[in-house]
Amino acid sequence: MPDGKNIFVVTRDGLDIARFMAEVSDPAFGAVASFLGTVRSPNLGETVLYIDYEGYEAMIKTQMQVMADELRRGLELGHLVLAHRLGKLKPGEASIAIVASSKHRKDALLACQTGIDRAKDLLPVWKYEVTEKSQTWVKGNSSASTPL
Amino acid sequence: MTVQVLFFASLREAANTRELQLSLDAPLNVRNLATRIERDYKGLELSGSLCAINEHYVDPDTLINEGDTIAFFPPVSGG
Repeated sequence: MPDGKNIFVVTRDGLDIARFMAEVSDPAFGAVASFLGTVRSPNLGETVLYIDYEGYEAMIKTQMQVMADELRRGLELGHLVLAHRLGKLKPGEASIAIVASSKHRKDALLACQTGIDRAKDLLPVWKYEVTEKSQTWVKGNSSASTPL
Repeated sequence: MTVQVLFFASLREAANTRELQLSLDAPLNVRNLATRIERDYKGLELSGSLCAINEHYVDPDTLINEGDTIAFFPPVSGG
């Protein structure tokens, strides 16, 4: 069986899901699962015009490696893509993708579920949401470490 | 020692800069550095923010070393 590879993507361009699916597909691994997070509108009752995603790009990739190591410790994975888009995204556009292959379906499916939870804990990304009525930094999650 | 300090999102806006180079007297931990920055940058409130050194999350009592890159940022909201 081939070694599983990790592919980490941080980009301002659209997430190319077809390419990610092709990257993880491998005859040795019979399951491919994917999760996409997209910009939601309305959010909290307001029509969203766009979300501007700011990120600490070098640390995003470092933390993607932390995520991948965690996922591989708990699951029997084949190949794994972790991707986050930055910049201005309109409703419906994908901001994050987790695509995994595994020998059997359970591991790839769990990689998506656990992966998105850990991405929300670990990836240094901040949403600036602009709606028809307001613009604000979205309240975040501080579970990665003890805040000041 | 010389260190690089980075700010992101609302902290970048409050500091009116993304990056600082600072000369500091060791030993110093993250909490000490935050206090010094708040003293020098009025209006920049670091309470409740997260900190990373060299791209890894750290707690406020972590000691800073020569050449470190120290990032302060609000709780994260990616995905």
